[in-house]
Amino acid sequence: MYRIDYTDLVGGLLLVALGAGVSLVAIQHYPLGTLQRMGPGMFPAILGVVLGGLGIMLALQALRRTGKRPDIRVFSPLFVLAGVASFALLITPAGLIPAIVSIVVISSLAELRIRPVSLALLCLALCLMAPLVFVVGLGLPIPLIRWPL
Amino acid sequence: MKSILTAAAVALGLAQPLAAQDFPTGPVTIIVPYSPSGNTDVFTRHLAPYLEEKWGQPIVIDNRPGGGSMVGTAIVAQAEPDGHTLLVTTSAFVTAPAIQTSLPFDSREAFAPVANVGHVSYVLVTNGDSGFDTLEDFIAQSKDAPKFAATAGLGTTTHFAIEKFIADSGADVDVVHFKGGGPAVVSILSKETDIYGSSISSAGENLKTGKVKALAVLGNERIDALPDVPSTAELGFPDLEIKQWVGMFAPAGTDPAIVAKINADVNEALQTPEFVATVTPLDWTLFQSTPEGFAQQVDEELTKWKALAVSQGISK
Amino acid sequence: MDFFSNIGLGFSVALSLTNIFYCFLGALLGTLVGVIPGLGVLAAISMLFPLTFHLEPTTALIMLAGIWYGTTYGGSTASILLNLPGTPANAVTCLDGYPMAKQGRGGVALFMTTVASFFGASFGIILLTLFTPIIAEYALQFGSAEYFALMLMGLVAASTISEGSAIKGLAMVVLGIIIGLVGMDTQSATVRFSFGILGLLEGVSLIALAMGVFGVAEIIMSVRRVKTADIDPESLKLKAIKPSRDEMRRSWFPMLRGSSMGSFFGTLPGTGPSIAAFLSYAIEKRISRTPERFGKGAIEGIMAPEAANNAADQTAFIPTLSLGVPGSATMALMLGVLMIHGVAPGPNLISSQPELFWGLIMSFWVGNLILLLLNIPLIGVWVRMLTIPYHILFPAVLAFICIGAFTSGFSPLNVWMVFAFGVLGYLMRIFHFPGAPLLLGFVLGPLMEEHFRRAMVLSRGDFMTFFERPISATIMALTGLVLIWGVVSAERSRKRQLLSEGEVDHTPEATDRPT
Repeated sequence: MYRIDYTDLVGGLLLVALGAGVSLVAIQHYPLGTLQRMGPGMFPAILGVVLGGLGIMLALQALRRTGKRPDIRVFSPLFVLAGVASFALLITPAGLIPAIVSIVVISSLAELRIRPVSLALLCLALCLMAPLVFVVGLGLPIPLIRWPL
Repeated sequence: MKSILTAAAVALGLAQPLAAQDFPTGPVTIIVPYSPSGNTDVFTRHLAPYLEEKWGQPIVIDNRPGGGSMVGTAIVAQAEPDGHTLLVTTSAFVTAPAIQTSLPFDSREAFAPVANVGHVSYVLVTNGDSGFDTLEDFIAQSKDAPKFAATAGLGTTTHFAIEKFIADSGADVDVVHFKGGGPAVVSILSKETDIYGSSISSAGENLKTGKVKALAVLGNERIDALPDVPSTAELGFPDLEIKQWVGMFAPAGTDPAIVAKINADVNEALQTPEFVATVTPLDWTLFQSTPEGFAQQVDEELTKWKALAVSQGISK
Repeated sequence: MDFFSNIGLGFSVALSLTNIFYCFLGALLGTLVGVIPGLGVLAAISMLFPLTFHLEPTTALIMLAGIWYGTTYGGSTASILLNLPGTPANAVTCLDGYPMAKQGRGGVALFMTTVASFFGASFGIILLTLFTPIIAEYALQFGSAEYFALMLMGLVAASTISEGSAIKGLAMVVLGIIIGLVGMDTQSATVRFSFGILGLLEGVSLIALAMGVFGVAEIIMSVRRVKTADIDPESLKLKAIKPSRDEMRRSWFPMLRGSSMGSFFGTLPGTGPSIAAFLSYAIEKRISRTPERFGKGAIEGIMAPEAANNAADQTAFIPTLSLGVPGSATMALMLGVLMIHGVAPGPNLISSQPELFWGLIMSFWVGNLILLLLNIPLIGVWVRMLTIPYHILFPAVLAFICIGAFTSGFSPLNVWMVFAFGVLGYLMRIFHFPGAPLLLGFVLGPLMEEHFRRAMVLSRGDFMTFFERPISATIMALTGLVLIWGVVSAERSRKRQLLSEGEVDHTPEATDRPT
């Protein structure tokens, strides 16, 4: 327990920063126009202000109540997101099979333990299933494997 | 980005020094910067089997819609100039750059025009119950009470057609943009707007049932589908020869011999009676073009629409 | 009139062996596409589109339509079992479906959503059969001012869609709208917030957003916490899918309201099943006497949206077939099938191509029946999926999400978007920001802006346009009522809360609260 709700305080301040950023970019880069003939900048500029306002309200409320420890995890997001990134990096140059293997292997590290047998079986199963479903079944033109250039 | 299979062919060294008579050495990707089922897409899908047969290689049609056709166009601008990645697009190729000023390519420098395959005509349409039956009526009434014109989107050929009409006729019309031809036709049906430069296929059955009526055909001549509707030239506007054309482009730097070969093969396909029979009901006028002639046309139109965009105050 | 002969004609077309086969194929593919998170109906139909060159137009349409509505049937499965939506239209089903699964009532939830889907679809088909021309005329009454008013009402009604702080819900709606603005502005061709990435010209992908914020974030939070769902083996038996009498009783009206909402939004071009599902959920929560049950496994919270999205799937054919105007990109593909075969969609279609029109509509009955028969036995299979250990399940689901994202556009950019929204979704979990309002803002926001600006052009800058046009004015008045109702009921529940907090204060734990 904390004396004030740090989670909402930080969350609110993040909203303020985000809203301010959106409004600033909109005002600086896009024509605002008038309310009657809105330019492309008007709507985002208003939204940014509203978002910031909501952030301030959230942060103020947070000062007046106690808060719990936020639920922050390090390894799960790290490995899961790294898996997704590896898929994005590999799918075009290397093809479907390497991308599947890498996302499965990397993301399963988020378990913080390696189960070599079940991992290998899972990779094998997915590498058989995914082409069957997507390439044969739905006829999607994804190359299965491509030798790196 | 290149086609998957083309890339594989290049990787294996198959596509190295390439002579025009060997073209194509692998599958050819045709990028269509519109959704499947649009006019351009359907046309390309009808064309592809002829080229496949002629070339003995599969053709992959890759739809990359977005940004008023500029997303797919940019992909081809950055593709390998070996003739294995081609673009089939519309006259948005020359109109959109007049408005979109931050494109990552130069429309003149980045492409080798291959062939102008054909065009469809635009018809100025209005609601069946609108208070005017002729274009003169419309122009006259607009001066008493300003009217609204619909477009299929900013920077589309329908937009420029209307802007040019406004500039030439002096009609008092405010332009309203919609997302695509469908919503624009709805706005005519619901009388939200008063006039729209529609292709025959967009207005479709609504023209036949009289829910929508045609005021004039944009251009110098009447069209077969609507023999009773006057052309804008007849009505005293000689400069409104605006068509939605469809053309094929290769990335700049493609061997001129390959460009010439593709041009010849496309021209040949366009002449086959079967092909003519499939696309005629869709109101296409087909062309036999040369790469040089098409390049010149593209160059002129880029200049023309940019100038119109500036004079009408729609370009930034 | 020869109404019955039309129906007869329709069935004679729909019940031909070929058409039944392709209808089955479509429904099966649709279920598959729906169950797999990340794979969208548009991508699937685009891929199969070239195939339709070789089919009769009626058969081709029957198959593509089967995929279209089959997806929504299948889409609720992953929402309920894994808390990640199979399609964006099923995202709101997560809110109460997943809690039900956690309570061991996953089978009931799957069974009931199948029933709701069938009910909603039937409702839509009946409307489609009886009133297509009338509804099409009526939909034409909706101009930009009406659309804006409608979207505004949607946002106001839905601002309390999730549990927890209203400020957070609103903030997420606003953030969703901002994300929706990314890309090229239709009124000025200005590219906004694209960071120079060309692929963002067409905006952020809805699927990538839903998969990142719901899917990836959910996986991050569940890894190492969920082992195998501790399910009672009894809940795997087929009889465990039987809902209680109370649940049956509470399902009727949500299904009816959901179907009506869905049918209404389906007919309006530009809106669709996602919006319908969100708003019908919001309505159920608003009118419920016990809104606190929502988000904890309330049956109403899955019945209404699932009826709504399926009804919207069916009525989406009304403008498409009768006006020749597609309401969505997927519907545009359906029209394309007609045009390839030289059939012009439009007001004449019903009279000029009766076999096609009635055959297609009657095939919807066939398809929905197939889906019903297909989905109920599958429930057992899906529920058993929960017995797969999570350490095997999550990498597989993640892989499917990425493949699905990649297939919409065949560009790694969409996978990167899943990555980015996964980060956002994780941050939102840390700060307890709800995901559903974000998705709703994303869907409604760009429409709101577009219609507002167009309405302003059409009224030549007169704000009164929203209050002078009768339909728009009515919607605006309703919006006002919803707003007042919201304030009043918030006040009431605040009082109730104060009351219960007063009781809580006597417990020792609460005494160390700062004053």
